[in-house]
Parts: sequence; C-alpha cells; structure tokens
Amino acid sequence: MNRRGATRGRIAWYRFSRGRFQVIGLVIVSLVSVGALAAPLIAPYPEHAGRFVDVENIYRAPDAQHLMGTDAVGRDVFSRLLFAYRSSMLLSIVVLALAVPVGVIVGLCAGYLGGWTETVAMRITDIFLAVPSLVLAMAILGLFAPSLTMTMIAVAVGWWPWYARLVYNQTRSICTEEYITAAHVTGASATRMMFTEILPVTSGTVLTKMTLDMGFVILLGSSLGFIGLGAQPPTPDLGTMVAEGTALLPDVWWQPVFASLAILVVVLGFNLLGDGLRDLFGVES
Amino acid sequence: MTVPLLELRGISMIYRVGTQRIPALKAIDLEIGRGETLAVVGESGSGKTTLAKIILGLERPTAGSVRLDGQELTIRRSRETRRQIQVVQQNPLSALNPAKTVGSTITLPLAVHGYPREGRDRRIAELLDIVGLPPALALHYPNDLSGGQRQRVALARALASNPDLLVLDEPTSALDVSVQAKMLRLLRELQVKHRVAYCFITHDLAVARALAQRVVVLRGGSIVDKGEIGSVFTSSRNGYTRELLAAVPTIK
Amino acid sequence: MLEIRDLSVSFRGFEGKARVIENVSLEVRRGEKVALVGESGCGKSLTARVVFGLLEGGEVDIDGRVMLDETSLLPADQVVWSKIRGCRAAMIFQDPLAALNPVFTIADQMRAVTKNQPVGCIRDMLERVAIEDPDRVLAAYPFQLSGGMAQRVLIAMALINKPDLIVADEPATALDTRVQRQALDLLVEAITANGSSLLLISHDLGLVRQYTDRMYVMYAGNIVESGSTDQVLGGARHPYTQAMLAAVPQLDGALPKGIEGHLPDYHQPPPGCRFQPRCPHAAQECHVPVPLRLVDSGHEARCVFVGSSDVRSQRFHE
Repeated sequence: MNRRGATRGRIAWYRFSRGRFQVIGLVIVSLVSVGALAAPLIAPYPEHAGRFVDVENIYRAPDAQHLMGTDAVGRDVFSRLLFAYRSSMLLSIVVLALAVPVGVIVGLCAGYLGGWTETVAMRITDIFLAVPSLVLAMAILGLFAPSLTMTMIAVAVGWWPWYARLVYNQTRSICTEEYITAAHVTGASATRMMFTEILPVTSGTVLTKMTLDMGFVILLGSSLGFIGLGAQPPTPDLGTMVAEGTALLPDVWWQPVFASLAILVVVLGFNLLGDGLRDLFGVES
Repeated sequence: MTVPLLELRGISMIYRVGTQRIPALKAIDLEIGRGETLAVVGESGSGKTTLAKIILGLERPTAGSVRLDGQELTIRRSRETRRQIQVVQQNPLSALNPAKTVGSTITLPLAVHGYPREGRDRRIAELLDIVGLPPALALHYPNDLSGGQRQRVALARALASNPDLLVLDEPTSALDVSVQAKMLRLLRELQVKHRVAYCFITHDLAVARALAQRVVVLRGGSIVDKGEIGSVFTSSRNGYTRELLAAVPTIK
Repeated sequence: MLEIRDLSVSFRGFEGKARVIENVSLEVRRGEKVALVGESGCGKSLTARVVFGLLEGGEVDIDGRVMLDETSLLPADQVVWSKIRGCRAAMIFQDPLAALNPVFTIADQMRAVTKNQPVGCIRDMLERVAIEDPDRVLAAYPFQLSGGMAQRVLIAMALINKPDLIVADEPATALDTRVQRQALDLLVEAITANGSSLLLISHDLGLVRQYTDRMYVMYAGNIVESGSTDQVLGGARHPYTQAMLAAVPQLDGALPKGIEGHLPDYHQPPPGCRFQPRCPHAAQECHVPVPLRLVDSGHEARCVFVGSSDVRSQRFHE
C-alpha cells in the first residue's frame, strides 16, 4: 500500500475538502467523538454524571460556572451532556458492530447463492423491515428490564435487515458485471467470490450507510430515552434529559433546549459527513 | 491424428423465454488444436457470445458435447478444468474489479489454484512483464489505467494459471487502432512462446485474418463457412462471407 | 460556418493544471462534411462539448473563440447555448441507449426537443430514418428498441429542427458494422438534403473515408494534420497520422504495427511537438512549438519535416 496508498488518501482528501458542508460534518463528528471519549477528563463536573445532589444549586440558569445551567437536582447540564454523548456514541458503535456483519453476510449469501437461501433470507428480512424500528425496539425492551445494553440489542435486532437489503441489491447488480464472470471462470469458490470479489465493491455504500446510521441510531436511542427506555438514571442520556426538562418549559428552558441541540448537532454532523462520503465513493442511492 | 485440444460436437442452444423458444445455436461442430488460433466471425445475434459461454462452462448447452483433450466437460467443472480455459472479454471498463488493485486481481487465479504464497508477488511481476506492463502497476486500481492497459491486465489474469485455451471475446473492439495493433502482436508472441490456443471471437475480419489460422463464420446460430482463413477469405463461394468481406472498409 | 479559433482547455485538479487542448483551430463550411479524428484521450470529444457549452464548472479554464456564423459560442453563456442547442446545431452522442431517457417514451422525448415545427413532423422524421413502424416506436420506451433503432431515433431527434450543423460524436460505435453503415447513410442523406453541415468525430478511419470531404487529425490536444480526406488518408505527412494508418489491419493478414510509448502527461506536456517522445523521426527542432506547415494546397501538417515555410507567412504573401 505504502506510497500508492498515501497518494490515494491525499487525492481523497482533496476531493472531500472541496465541499464545505461535508468538512463541517467531519469537524462536528470529530468534536463530538473527542468530547465523548474524553468526557471524564474535560467535563467541568465529572462527578455530576453519577449520583449527585446539590440542593443549593438546582435550576441555575446558564452562567460562568455552569455553561448550560443545572438540572432538577443541581447537576451541571454541560458535563452530563458530554457523558450522554458517551452513551449515545457507544450505543451507535455497538449496534452497528452487531447489525452490520449480520446484515452484510445475509445480503451477500442471498444475492450470490440464490435459490432457497435467497428466498428464505429475503423473506425474513422483509418481515423485519415491515416493523418500524422504534416499535420493534420498544416491544423488545418491554420484555426485559430496560438498560443501555438491552437498548443496544433491541435496536440492533431491528437494524440488520437494512444492511441485508442494501447488500442484497448491490450483490445482484454486481453479479452481472464482467469482472465477476471472469473471476468465476478462474474457478473461485462461492465463499471466495462473495468475500474477496463482491464484498469490496459494496464497501463504499456500506461505509456511507454506516456513517449516516451513526446519527440515526443516536436519534432512535434518544427517542427511546425520551420515554424512559434507555440508559437508566443516574446515567445521563440525551433523550431522558430532554424529557426531564420539558415539564418546566418555558421558564427553566436550558436542559431540554441544550439536550435537543446536542441531538441535533450530532445527527447533523453524521448526516453531512455521510453525504460527503456518498459523493466521494460515487454511491448512487 | 492427435486429439484436438477443444472439440465441440452437435452443440445446440435453445433459450426458453416464457413460452417462446429461441434457438441461439444450431448443431455446431468445431475443433481447436493446441497452440492454434480459431477465429469465430459473426455479427451480433449470430450466437458467438452464447458459444463463448458454452466453451467457458457458463451455460449448459441444450444438446451436444464439449471435449477438452478428449474428456467430456459438463457445466460442473473441476477447478483443474477451469484452470485450463480462461477468458478475456470485450469491455476494458468492466473487465477488472474496481475495488481491487491490479496485483490483487491477478492474485485471484493464483490463490484459487493454490500457488504458494511466497512466490505470488514474483509471479505477478512476471505476468505484468509478459504483457508489457511495469511491475509497479500492481499497486494501482483499474481507475488509473487506460483501456489498453486494462485489457493487458485482463490478459495477465487469464494467463496466470497457465491455461491451454483462451477464449477472447472481441478483446480489441473497444480499443484504439494503434493500441489494438500492439495487443494483437502481444497475443501472437504469447501464442508462440507459451503455446496457448485462442478461440478468437470477432466481427472484424481484418483482425481475424491478422491473428488466426482457421476461421468459422457464424450466422443466425449456424456455421455457414469454415476453413483455413487465407483460402476462405480469398476464394469462398459463400454469399454471406463475401458480403462481410465486401463490407470491410478500405482506407486508402 | 462553424469556426473554432485557438481553443485551449485546461483542467485544474489535484496534480495541478492539465492542458488537455491547446490552440486548436478548425472550421466547417456550409454544406461540408468534416471529420475530427484521433484516438482516446486526444480531446476530440471535449472539443465538441465546448461548442455546445457542455463544459462548465469551476475547475475548467477555456480560452479561444468559437463562432457559429455570426453568433459567438465562446465566450457565451447558457442563454446563448440553450438557444442554439437542438435548433441551429445538434449533437448525436455515442451510445444511443444511454443518450435516451429511460423513463419517457420516444414520442415524449421527441416532442421535448421539437421547436416550432409543423404537426406530424415527428412521424415524418421517423419514416425518413427508415423506421418502418413509426407509431410503434413512438409509443415505445428506449429499452424496447434495438441499438440500431435507437440510433436512428437519435438521428431523427437531431434532424428534427433542421439544424445548420450536426456534430456526431462516435455515432454508432456501439453497433455492428452493417447497422453502423445504414445509420450513417441515413444521416448523411438527410444532411445533404437539408444543406446542413456535419462534424463527424470518430476514431474509425473507414467511416471517415466514406462519409467526409475534409478531415482534421488530433493528437494529445493538438491538431497535427488537416486537409481533404483524400489528401490526408492518401498521402499523410505527419508521423502520427502515418503510424495510425499503418496500425489498421488489412485483409492481407499482416500483423499491423502499433505506436511505441503512450500519451503525454497533460500536466507536463513536452515543450514542442507533443508526439515527439514517440516519433521515430524526432529531432532537436521538435522541442519547440511547431506551427502547421503547408504540404500542398489545403493540406497542412504540424511537423518540422514538412515543407520549408511557415503557413502563416505563406498566406501573408498570397
């Protein structure tokens, strides 16, 4: 890879950096990631992310000591948001780590092997796709005690079929290409065909979707948090923080507003970045 | 009489589309000897693509047999059989996997046939050299290559497993005339050096004449003329052949 | 009628500025059929696109003049270009099925390009391009047509407004030889009947020989030879033209010769003649820019070994 790889990297950056919005997306995502990763170090009041009560300081409006004010029990909103980003990012990463491999493999096998494999796999995929992810996640969480871990599993269960369908469609169209015929003529086995020939061609589309999904999973996680099915208190959660504050609007406005903005910003960031990747990889849909 | 390398007897192909039956090939007989080039000349709709697919084991003929070195082949071919018959296709833009480097593309047949890992890089450099490309190209993606270069890589990939027969389906039709000339010379050189047989499919009679010793003219799924190419082109009585010959443009 | 003067096009990219077309001048007079010939990457298709204003964007620099009679097509703006496209000048693209919109019927697409023509002219035009069942074709979608049929539809679309100039970019490359000939016969017939002019862009010398009166040979962004088709094909003087002609396989069975080397890097082209690195006759004089030199009346070649006087000074003395 070495020098050739480095040049390709530089060319990719050159093309990527032409678009203002996608660079903004990259910046936002980087900042959020750093914030989430370094939360224990950079949050002004890291202990407020756990059990903490300070009755003297409840509902303080934003000021120099508390950039985004304090909440119902006197905890710093800004610090809690940084930790909330931590849970959200973790949620996205784990959900994708579970859903993507499953979806991709199902899609590849269905698209390449055809026959019964295709019929069975895609019908199962269709069934899952017919149920909205939020409803499915709620149903699963309803069966078990809600927690961050359960949320990850519940969302992943609803997420893999999108990758299955995406990769299935891609695989079907890639299989008509001449280079696949040529690879088949060399005598390559089905496994080799799927994983070394077809999969690399789908990687651009899959990566783009993963980037966009990082934002959408966070959004879904926040929706679940809003109704109390996410990380449980006292662990900070973006959705929960929005829900907690709404009862007191418009007087005590800072928690729901900043929490909502936090969600908006991170989803926007991943969307912009994902769009940029889509242009970079030349992905059609 | 030595057994020909490739022998087709009574090959017929009928496609079923809904309730319709479309005959693509009708009772085709042909042979290709070791190290020789047979040109298959035909226009679109003549069945030449179907013929290529049958030889390559990509389609099962409705009737007839395909024999390699006397052994009958079916569509389920062993890896060893697949090693012996390779392909170079028409369109350089879709001949190579865009997500894989040149080196990785050429590695595929090596990996499939169990070529030892330590020797692979050397073999790739060797193959690139054989087709007249710099070894450094192995690190490039097809995107960086011209049409002529891509066809050469496709050729290197086809040669990697030391096949006995190459099916070349209009390999130079999409290339510029000067690039085509280089490619034809390369193909001739490789045939002489490595004794590879070619089944050269084309609609261009002049190109067929440059490379092939024997020719078969295909029309509407049947062979309408065959023989040693020099004599067919100079003294054939067949009306269709003469029509095709007359349509070859003269430049000067 | 169409005059391109000193056209230069460069692209600004990751590796700097690529000068892909340099000082190209050509003209097509009324009623003439002219060919622009060259191999991939020489810039001939780009030249056509400039005429129609299809080359735009922040990273392209275009210099020079293009005139269609008295209308300036370069410099110009989208307003001017949209007025002439389809009306006074029309373009026929290479791949017929790719050039047609897959979601509209042929009738819809033809109506969309027709401007101020009498009722029923669409049907007439399809008949003129030898389509036997125009009603069926009109109701059809592009995917239902064969390549040859689609190409004829494209020709009909180009001719419908009786333009003064037709630019055909590698028309019928995707088709069989016989179908190709049919399509071009129709095109040329219609053009001659209308008194229009044709600029045929192709790498196929057989087509050029058969259908055009004059030709330009392009290499690496420069015009290297020009003259009547007979003069250039019968007595080529530029080494590149000669090599290209020698590369065409003939029925005698001799293996044709290719050209050593490859196209220059447009970011750092050779200072003088761009063919010099591949030319068997290259000499010291080739390292400085070479003007077009007169071979014979109407026949010019950009090579130091041609003639002894500069074309421009020749004209000055006339």
